[in-house]
Parts: sequence; C-alpha cells; structure tokens
Amino acid sequence: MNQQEIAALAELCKLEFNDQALEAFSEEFGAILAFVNQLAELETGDTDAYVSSLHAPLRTDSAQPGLPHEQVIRNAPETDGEGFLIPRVL
Amino acid sequence: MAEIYTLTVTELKQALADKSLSAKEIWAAFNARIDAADPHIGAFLTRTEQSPPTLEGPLSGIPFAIKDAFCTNGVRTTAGSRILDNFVPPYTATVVERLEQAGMASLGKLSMDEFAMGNANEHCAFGPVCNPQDLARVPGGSSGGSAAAVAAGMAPFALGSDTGGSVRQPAAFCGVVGFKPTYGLLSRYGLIAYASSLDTPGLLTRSVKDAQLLLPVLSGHDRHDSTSLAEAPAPARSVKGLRVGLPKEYFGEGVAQEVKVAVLRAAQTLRDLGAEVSDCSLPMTKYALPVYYLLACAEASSNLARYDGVRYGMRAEGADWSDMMTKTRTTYFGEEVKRRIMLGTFVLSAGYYDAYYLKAQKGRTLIRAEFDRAFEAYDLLLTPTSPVTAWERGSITDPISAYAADICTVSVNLGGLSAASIPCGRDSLGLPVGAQLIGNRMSDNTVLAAAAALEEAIGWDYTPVCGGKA
Repeated sequence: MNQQEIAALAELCKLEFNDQALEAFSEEFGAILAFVNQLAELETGDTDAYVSSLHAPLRTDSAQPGLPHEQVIRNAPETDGEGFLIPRVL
Repeated sequence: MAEIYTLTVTELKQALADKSLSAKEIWAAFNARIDAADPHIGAFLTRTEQSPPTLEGPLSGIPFAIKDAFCTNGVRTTAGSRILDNFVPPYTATVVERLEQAGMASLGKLSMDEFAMGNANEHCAFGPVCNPQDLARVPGGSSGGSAAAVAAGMAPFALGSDTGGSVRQPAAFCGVVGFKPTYGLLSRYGLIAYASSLDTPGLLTRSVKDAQLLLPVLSGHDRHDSTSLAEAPAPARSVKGLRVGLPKEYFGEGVAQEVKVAVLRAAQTLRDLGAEVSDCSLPMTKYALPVYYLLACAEASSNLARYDGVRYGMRAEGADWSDMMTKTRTTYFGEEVKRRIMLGTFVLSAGYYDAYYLKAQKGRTLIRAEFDRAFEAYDLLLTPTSPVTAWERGSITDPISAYAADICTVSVNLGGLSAASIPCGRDSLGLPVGAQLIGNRMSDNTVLAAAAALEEAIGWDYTPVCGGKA
C-alpha cells in the first residue's frame, strides 16, 4: 500500500499520522500484509465461514432496568446534566 | 509458619477455617508485600483503598487482584490505555461480582498491554511490568500484571483475560498456573472488549487446586452475556488411561530446544501417571496466526470505534465533532492499538473483505474442524505454552516477530477450547518453561485434573519471588 492509501485508511479509522509516521507505517503495513497473506495458499473450497453467534441463546425482547442516568453520564467529557455535549457537527 | 503472602487460596481458606489466621492479618500481609515488591515490578495500576474485607461468603477474607480490563464499580479502570485514564465504571464485571459475592476482596487493578493487545506487557500506556523471575525480562502479556502479581506473592490469585494466549503465556513466563476456560463458561460482561468472539476471562494462581476451587465460583450463565453458556462442564476424568496427543507442529521450527526438552519430559511424566501419550499432527496450525490476527484485528477495529470522546474516556480539543474524534483517538491510543485498528479496518473494507476477513473465518471453521477430529482420537493435547521463555525488555521491536511468539496459544481461542499452562521446568538461564494442556470445549475439569496430577508429579516450587529471590 502506498502512503496515499494508508492516509485514506487512517481517515476511515479516525486516526491521523504525520508524513514521517505515514512512511514508517506504510512499510510496516506491507510486512504485516505479507505475513497474513500466507492464508492465500489455504484451500477453503465450499467451507462455511465461522459464525460465532450461531448458537447464542436468544432472550425475550423485553425492557430491562438500565443503569441510573446520573451514573451513566458521570464519565462524559462534557454534559449539560441531561445529555452528552459535542463540538459542532456542521 | 510460612509468610502469609506465600500461601495459596486453598491454604488461606484452611487457615481462616481453623482460625490460625484472621482476615485482617491476611489483608495486611498482602498489602505489605505489595508495598515491598511492587516498586520493583510495577504490576498495580490502582490500589484498592479499603479496610480489611468484611464480606461474608465461602471465600471470605481471601484477597485477589484484577486485570485492569475488568470493570469495577467506582474504581478506575483503564484497560492499560490513556484513552480510559479517567474512566470510573458505573458497574462491575460479572466475574468480579461473583468473587465478591463469595466474600473475596480486591487488592487492586493490574497492569496489562493496552486493550490486551500484546504479549510482553510493553504496550501498557502506564509503563512496563518486570518479570519477578528476572526483573530485566518481560512478564509476558497481555495479563502481565496479573501473572507478575501472583508470581511475586502480591496476590494469591488474579483475574486475567485470554484472547490469544494472554493468560497462559504470561503464566508460563512468570512460573505460575494460567487457566483459560472454554469460551462462554465465564461471562464477558464488564470485560472491556478486544475481540469478542475470542475474549475469555481466565485465572492465574500458584496451584492448579486453586483454579479448581475458583472455577465453579466464577462460572455459570449470565443473562448479560449472550454467549454465556447455560450448561456446566463435564465431570473430570482421571489421568490414568487418558489419551494425550503431542501435535508435532507445536514442537517444530522456532521452538527453543530447552522448551521442547522440558515439555517432552512432562509428556513422559504423564505416561508414568498412566496416560497413553502419542504423537499426532494438526496441519492447520500453520494458518492459525494469520487467521487469528485478521479476525482479532477486525473485531478490535469495530469494538474500539466506541472510543469517540463523547460518552466516556478522554477527549482532545477539535474544530468540530469529527476533528475532535480524530484528535482524541490519535492522541490517546498507543501505537500497537492504532496498528491493529488500521489492519482490522483494512480487512473489513470493500474490496478486501473476501480475500482477508471471509477467508480467515473459513480458516477458523477448518481449524475448529481439525480440533474436533483430534478430540475424537485424543482426550487432551500437550504442547509448549510459548516457543521461548521470557525475553529481555525491549529486545523484540518488530510486530511480526512479536505476533509469531503467539503460535502455541492462538489456536485454542479460535477453537473456543479450554487450556491450562503449568510450569514444567527451567531453561539454562533459570527461566520457567510452561507446558500447555489443551482439552475440548467443556472438558475444563479434565484439563485441570490432568494439570493437577502433572503439577504434583513435577513438584514445582511456587515460592513467590521478586527479582529471582524470595
């Protein structure tokens, strides 16, 4: 992957890298992809993809008590006491 | 009488029952040991400020410590990350709650690789942990603080979590017992997520008997975790007559000679105990590392999207919402976490999903099928826990070499299996070697019974150390 592609990927991840870090990362990413590319030789034929939640028991879709509002909001960086405050969106 | 901090959970329980020790004395002894040893080791991120425990229950008066990946109501929980530097959870993880209901009291929260991503505890945002066996070496990871605390006698038992070996490998490096139960046996509720289909709470102790004592306390269905199992594991089988396989792929290239010798000696000990031990082959093992890293990173990239500077955790200033989120994540995530989020996002993105993520999920199906076949012929598998013993801090810097060190443990998580690591010998530097006993899903009790028999025959000296000395 070139640096431009890495920068686009970083944007998807909501991460930023300076030019120097991008260069180092692009080299390292190449090595990691070469490592996982060992999998290309594995013949999977018509094998089903593993689904981890296949056997998870379902529960009734009914409302359960949640955590108290003030406890949930206590860890927020900025609130008005009712909701979470964020910088402007647009 | 032995120093109090050298006693196991089982011994402490007995001492409390026959009133030779009080809860107050035990609490004071472990806190004094932490005061003396932890400045050299750095296992504790947060100490619990409380007076001697007064909770009633079958394990009342016995202290323990907790990997900082488990939420604790009112007690700072960081997952080893600066992004959670200020996080004080409003609820407690189910496994912690069950220990507290049994009367146990927490001494504090233990260091770990950031979000459990690492195998040397060198990726903790708050500093590394030193291996009590040799302070210049890593304790393993990601539950490095848990293994070090138990090995140094700062806690008789610590909770860890195991996504790709994070309980078993540090146990091997520090010379203690590490047990990863069957996926789903212990609730993940309140365990800060790394890769949810692989994450498993686990136990670090200084005797297999302690793990046997604690497993029933910790396990059982939890309605807060949809993957939590309702059924109990199968009863234990005796070692005599157990069919034990030695998969040749775990003894091949890259495995240190001294590690092989120690684990093969353990195999002979199992034979002497009446087990039928023979060689076997698991050819899919060579694909386990790429399958694991692809799936774990994919799940991590999704799980860690929640750190957005809005609801909890740290926030950096930004011109608008999007800029704030990017600056928050860039400022407060560490390098290894960023690397795994990038890889995970890449393999889930359009154009690459089939070649990487889907292929890895198919690989996981094949790995599980291979284990299913192996467990028709064998009751247990015996392997090294790690291909090498504890390395010097700072000696492994490139990610590929670090990932390769997980070769003996990741398959177990991909299979959802149960596995225990126990110390089985030392290398020429005196560093512990771990032997891993792997059992099928729900064969946890047989894994532990065989580990207990092997442990007794080996006669390992678990006396707590700090810098190799008692």
